[in-house]
Amino acid sequence: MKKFNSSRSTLKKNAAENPFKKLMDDKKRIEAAFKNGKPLSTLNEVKFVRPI
Amino acid sequence: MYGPYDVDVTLDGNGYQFISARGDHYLVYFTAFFLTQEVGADIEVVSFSFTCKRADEHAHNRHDPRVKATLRSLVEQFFEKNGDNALLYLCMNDNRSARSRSITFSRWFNESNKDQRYERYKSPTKYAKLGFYSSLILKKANPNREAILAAFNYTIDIYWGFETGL
Repeated sequence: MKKFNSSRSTLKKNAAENPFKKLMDDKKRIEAAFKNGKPLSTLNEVKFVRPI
Repeated sequence: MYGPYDVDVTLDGNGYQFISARGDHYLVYFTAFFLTQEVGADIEVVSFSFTCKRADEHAHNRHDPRVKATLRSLVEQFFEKNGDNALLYLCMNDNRSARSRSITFSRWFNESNKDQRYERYKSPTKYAKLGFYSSLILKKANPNREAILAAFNYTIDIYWGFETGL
């Protein structure tokens, strides 16, 4: 489990940026890229990980 | 018991893929997701997702047990290597299907967890009316269990609560 520094002020500033909504948007972008044959590496705003 | 399909890493290394017997092309991918703690640093967990490009978009979507076995195998490999982390699963709500997907996911999880090695925590039902259905899976023996669960619930409440006033 990785931890990253954060602060309450950062949280308040970004309160409207719901990370679950961002994930939903990312999933839509990934699905569209996959179905159109575009490499996932073109989606710079998505942080892919390879845990296995 | 059906065996999984052979899985390859995608050419750009950002996902895993396999082809089903019917020629459907599956992409499985993991992305970083940051949970907010009430006090302290964010916790990075991993979001698990998959999508499918069907060989025949008009064909009836028949159940393929080997697809389920393949996805299950990838999840088990994740926990073999990341036993102190957690997997987040978010049901998409296109065609208002998030609830149905959540039910399917519950069934898969229960079938795959007969030995009760894993625990699943669902997002509160009060946010379901927004089409938000999410789950967090972790090993029962996860040493970070309490911190991760608290952060999961806190993150949901601050962001969905912010939107709904709940």
